[in-house]
Amino acid sequence: MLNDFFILMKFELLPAVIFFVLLFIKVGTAELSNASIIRLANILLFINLVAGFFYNKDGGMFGDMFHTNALIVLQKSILNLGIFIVSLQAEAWLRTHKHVIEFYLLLLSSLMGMFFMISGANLLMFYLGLELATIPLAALANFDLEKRKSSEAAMKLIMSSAFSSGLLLFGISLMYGTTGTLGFAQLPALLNGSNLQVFAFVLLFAGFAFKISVVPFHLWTADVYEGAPVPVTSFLSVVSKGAFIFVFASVLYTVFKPLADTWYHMLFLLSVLTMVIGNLFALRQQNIKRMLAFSSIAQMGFILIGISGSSQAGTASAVYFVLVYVFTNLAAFGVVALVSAQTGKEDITDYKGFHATNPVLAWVLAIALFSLAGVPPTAGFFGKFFLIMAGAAKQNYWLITIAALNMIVSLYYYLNLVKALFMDANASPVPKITFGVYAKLAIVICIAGMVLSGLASVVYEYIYNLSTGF
Amino acid sequence: MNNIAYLVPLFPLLGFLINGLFRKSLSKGTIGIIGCGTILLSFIVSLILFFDVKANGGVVVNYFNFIDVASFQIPFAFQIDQLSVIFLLIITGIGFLIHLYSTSYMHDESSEHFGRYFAYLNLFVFSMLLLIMGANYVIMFIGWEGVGLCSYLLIGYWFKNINYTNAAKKAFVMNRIGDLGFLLAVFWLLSKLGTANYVDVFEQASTGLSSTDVTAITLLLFVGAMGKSAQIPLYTWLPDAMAGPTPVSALIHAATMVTAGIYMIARSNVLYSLSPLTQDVVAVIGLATAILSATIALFQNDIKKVLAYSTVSQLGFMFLALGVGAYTTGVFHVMTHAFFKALMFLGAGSVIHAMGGEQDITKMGGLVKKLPITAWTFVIGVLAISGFPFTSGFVSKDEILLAVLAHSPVLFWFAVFAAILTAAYMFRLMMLVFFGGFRGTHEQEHHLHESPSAMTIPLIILGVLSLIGGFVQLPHVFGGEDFFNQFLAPIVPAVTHEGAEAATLEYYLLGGTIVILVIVYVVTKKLFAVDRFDGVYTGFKKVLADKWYIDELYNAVIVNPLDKLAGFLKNVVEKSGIDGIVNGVGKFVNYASRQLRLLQSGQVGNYILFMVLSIAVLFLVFWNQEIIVQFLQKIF
Amino acid sequence: MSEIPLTHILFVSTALFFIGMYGLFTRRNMITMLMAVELMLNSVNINFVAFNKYLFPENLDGVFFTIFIITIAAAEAAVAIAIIINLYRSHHSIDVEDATEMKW
Repeated sequence: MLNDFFILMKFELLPAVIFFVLLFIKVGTAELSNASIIRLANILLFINLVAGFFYNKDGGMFGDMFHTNALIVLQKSILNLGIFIVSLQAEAWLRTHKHVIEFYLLLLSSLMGMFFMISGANLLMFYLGLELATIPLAALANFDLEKRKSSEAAMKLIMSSAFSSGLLLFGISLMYGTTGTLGFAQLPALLNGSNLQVFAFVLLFAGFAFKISVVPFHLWTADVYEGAPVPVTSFLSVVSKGAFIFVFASVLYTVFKPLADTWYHMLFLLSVLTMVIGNLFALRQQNIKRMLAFSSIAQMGFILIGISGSSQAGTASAVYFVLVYVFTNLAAFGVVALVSAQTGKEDITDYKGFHATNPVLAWVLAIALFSLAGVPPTAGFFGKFFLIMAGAAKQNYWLITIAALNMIVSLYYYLNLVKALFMDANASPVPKITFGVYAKLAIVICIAGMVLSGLASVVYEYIYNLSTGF
Repeated sequence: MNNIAYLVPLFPLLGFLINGLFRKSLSKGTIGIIGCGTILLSFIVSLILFFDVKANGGVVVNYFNFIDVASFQIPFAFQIDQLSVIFLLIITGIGFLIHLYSTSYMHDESSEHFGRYFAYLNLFVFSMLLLIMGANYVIMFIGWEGVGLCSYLLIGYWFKNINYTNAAKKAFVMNRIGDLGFLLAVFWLLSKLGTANYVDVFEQASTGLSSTDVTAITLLLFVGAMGKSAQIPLYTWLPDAMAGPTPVSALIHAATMVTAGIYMIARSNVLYSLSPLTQDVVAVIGLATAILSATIALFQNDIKKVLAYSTVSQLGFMFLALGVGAYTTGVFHVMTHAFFKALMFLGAGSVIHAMGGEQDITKMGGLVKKLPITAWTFVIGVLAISGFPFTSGFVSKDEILLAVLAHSPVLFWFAVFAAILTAAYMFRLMMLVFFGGFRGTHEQEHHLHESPSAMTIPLIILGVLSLIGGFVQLPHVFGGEDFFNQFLAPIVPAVTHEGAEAATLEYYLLGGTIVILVIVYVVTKKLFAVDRFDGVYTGFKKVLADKWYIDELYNAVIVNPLDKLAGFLKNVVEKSGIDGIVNGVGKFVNYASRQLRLLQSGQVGNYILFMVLSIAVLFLVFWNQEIIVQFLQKIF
Repeated sequence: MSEIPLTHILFVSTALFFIGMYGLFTRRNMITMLMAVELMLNSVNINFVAFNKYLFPENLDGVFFTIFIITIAAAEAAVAIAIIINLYRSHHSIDVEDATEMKW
């Protein structure tokens, strides 16, 4: 029994252990240098990532409030990988920061929250995980304490996410009122599609839509991404989004299956809106973080298409896309983080002639942008390919056509940036960026991931076989 | 023998990796040897494959399952058959000649850029081979995108020049518009048949697909071909793409990549034959492109622009052939066109080289004396493209005309008109460049010289091929044998022109061609083999010289409105629209004056209000779901 | 003594929820906005307790949920107030209108 407890909850326990190790270092008297704390934290996170691959088991605990299976283990490992890369990339910024340990503490508690949320099989557990994942994020967004934009971003994040969890809770309370249960296993049988339930469901759906920044619940995204420190932005855009997408897909497919008609049309409308608005706003952005923010909104629209397919391929393609997105977006943000940490430049025009001074970083960014745009043979193409194939199962050719059109529009602004990197002349380009072993390692992981997860089709097959059907 | 098929794309890939990774440490000589050698090896393997296929027929070689999930399988497989080996020979053969030529042409570049150039070129050949050899539409699509990417990189090779990089971007985006069609067709096929393998698709096409499906799929595929092979309305990128180095224009934008669309349609001939509507569309678009671009080519003053529009026009001819069902003829014209157009582009490169980078033909003239090999091989190219009897171009173009005549006499006369235009602009170019008096500066005249042998040898080889390349398909009347059609017969049903009637027609065409060419020769010699030529046009000629203002039209109709829309969204919708909605509600709740100041974008309360409104809308919509379902069904 | 019907209680909680929502987007003082969020959360608490007591008295799901919501609301308020204090240091104001540097 105790053995089961350790194996099933390994993913949650490990961050907790690391959390306490770091906390004791903090409260202890020994003064460690930033460099050694970062080294220690990265080693621990790496152990955390590797340990995730061994001794896994399916099962439930706490009276079925908590459950885990092979797909959930994979999803958690993807998030572990994401947080490891984020932590590697954060080194350039944390090196001189006053509060290194706190950064890791907040990061780890957020990660733990996500794990509980993914494993939650009960609305209460789910809600607790969600809050544990969200509240530290607001504190992280404010991590550059002396910067005006950073506090503004954090304020916007906490206010709007408090509001969205209010909505979510109200939805949950009505759901409870109409069914009398909070368990995921019992809920589907009790859903009958009454008006009150649909209202509750819309509120829940809006809570989710807020978290994965689907238009029209996206307004906070660009501001927060711009204001937050870059590593936090990349964490927000990749790891936190990924976790919510995992939960969103599984909740829709299992708990709200009886309301499939309702949410299918909702997904249809919102995915079109999200792609179109995300892309059109991205076209006009001058700040590279804002542009990436809007582009990530547009990517969410594609994920909704995959999820709307309501099939095994729907789950698989969404999970696969998140994996690809971890590598791709972190590669892009990694370069932006390096440039921002060393020069403070964040405008697209600053990147003109980037290739002349920083050929390696320019190529990394270019490959990431091509992958975001979905140009084969990068992984991003396969990610979009599977999402669209999953959506096409519903024979919804209009949706597919709109998606394909959006791929072209998005190509335009990605290519503009590539053009700036390689082809535009600049009198004062970004100076040569020096980057240490952490950043190098992060870049290697991202590039290898982008190439391999696209070309090695076993990755998708593996995910597909783990996914449950609709 | 088919187990060596993977070597064909492997060699260029190795070349790309070596040249790309070690370009800083390798000398130019080594880079050149690696670049050319890998392609030569590919060519040799292709030859072996060719004889194997000739003896034993085609096969599909399965390597591994690329994608394997329950709903569909996509194997990574190569299809080695009659159609693909012909393209393999064209790509590796002409590719090798052009690589060889490049070693000399690009010699002034620094070693690092030299390496970059050859790396891109090898990568291009690799992608192109993948496109040709893939045994299903997905592999083809990957190659299809790969060549687009390499073309983008190579057009923007001289990235110091802003116009060049814009041309590169234009080419890429236009290609992507076409690719969208291709991709949609693949999705359609996959969702209907669950497979994208050629063999399975063609087997199930007549049973598994409704006629609407076939028409839609073939039209969408054709949209892909329009982008890649520069047909109306997506052709404007190709002339701009001439910004790249000249050998790149010869390889990518004349001989190989732009014929990918032809290959794809010839490959899918089973599908196209099932949809007469699409075939008509293909034929009409092809013919219209052939005529439009030929008229534009008549009054261009840039040597590469003339050749570019000529390429677009010849591609139009090929589509015309495909559209009337003469698939083998279309493919045959791809081959002969690859010979003479590559020849002319390389010749143009030689001229530009000799003129010190000058591309304006009004400043040339009389070059035949200083560059005899370039000039006479170029003349061969001109004769071939104009259809001078018994050159390669004569054979292929005559076959196209006969096939069109059998299909529709009206189209035939338009096609003849386009062929006459071809002869006219080509002779004009030839006269202006090589005959008459020199019109450039004294320095240029002093500097004129024949190119080194690495550049002239490919010219001579291509010249010979342009002359005799037609003999594999010489009409029966002239004592020939249609080897080419017979070879392709297992893949593509051939259209034959037999009997006395066809023989008479052949003689008419032969006679007509000679008469027209003589007239064209006399007229152009008088007009263009001159000592002074200003190249300024007025009236209708100016319309042609300005390319019918198509670029301006596209700018006005597509590009500017898009910019405006984005600006509108940013300035009006986000500032006033969203704010406006928010403000309206503010009034509605009767706190107008106070709220109006508060509710601005960038303010959290504003965001929250917007979310509340969205939820209200969502709920209203889904509370009454039938309404929205009906609404959606009505639109879509 | 006759019990208060469930609908009465639900009316109060729903009103509270929308008052909170309204307060959130009309108030410009960040602390007041935070109070509005608390109103929304408390309305949810009332909902849970009422549903539990009236409809599903056999187990205590709703009541437990309420306890957790109260705890989390406290945590959320703590972080939010910390952020607001920090924002006050740089902006010298806790008016949301003054924190609109990033827009469009």
